[in-house]
Amino acid sequence: MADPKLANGLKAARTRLDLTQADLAERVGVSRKTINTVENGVFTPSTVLALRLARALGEPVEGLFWLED
Amino acid sequence: MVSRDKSGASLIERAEHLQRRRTRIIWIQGLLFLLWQGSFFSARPEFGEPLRRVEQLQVGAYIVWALVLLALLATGGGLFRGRAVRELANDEVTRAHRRSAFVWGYWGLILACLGLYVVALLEPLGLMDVVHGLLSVGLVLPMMRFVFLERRSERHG
Repeated sequence: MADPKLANGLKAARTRLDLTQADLAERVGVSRKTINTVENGVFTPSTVLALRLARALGEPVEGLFWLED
Repeated sequence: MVSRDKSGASLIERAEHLQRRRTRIIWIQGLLFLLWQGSFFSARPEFGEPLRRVEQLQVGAYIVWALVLLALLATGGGLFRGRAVRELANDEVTRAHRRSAFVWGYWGLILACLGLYVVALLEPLGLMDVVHGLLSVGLVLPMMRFVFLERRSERHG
């Protein structure tokens, strides 16, 4: 059975708060490249990074990341 | 509050500058290292002959160069940029790229070993040639893979 794809609402949550990628990167303590690649689904973040992103955006982690069937 | 240095660059901007510079250096050094192999194999002594002084120096320089490149790939460089910048420049995505690069190096080495086995059936190989070939594959392949992954993730920006 193929692994389901991880989707995310990172960009939507970020723009709701009127944050740039650089702002979010600064809040989370990662490079902008990391934010880019997670938003575009190129990179699957670790649990720790997903939780840090959720905390920085004030969202539950399952509201930011979900599995696509 | 975004922390900035004297030049006005934030921590993230400095880390990204280091990442871009590092990618450029690894790309150029990898190519030069690969090109240099041509001169090694064309000017090496005959199989079984002792190395002359100039060739010993050449091999010594090659080993030092290989160690420096390996250290750059393994640590990410930026030793004088401060811990905070270094940590940002080696964040989760970069570390994942580095792991993938080393896995490619492993497979490259295994395939190179198999290739050398086949060549050794046809003609005698000197230990120096074998080690040189394996070290070059084990170093250049991960460097190129790392550069490819870093550039690809920059393009997604």
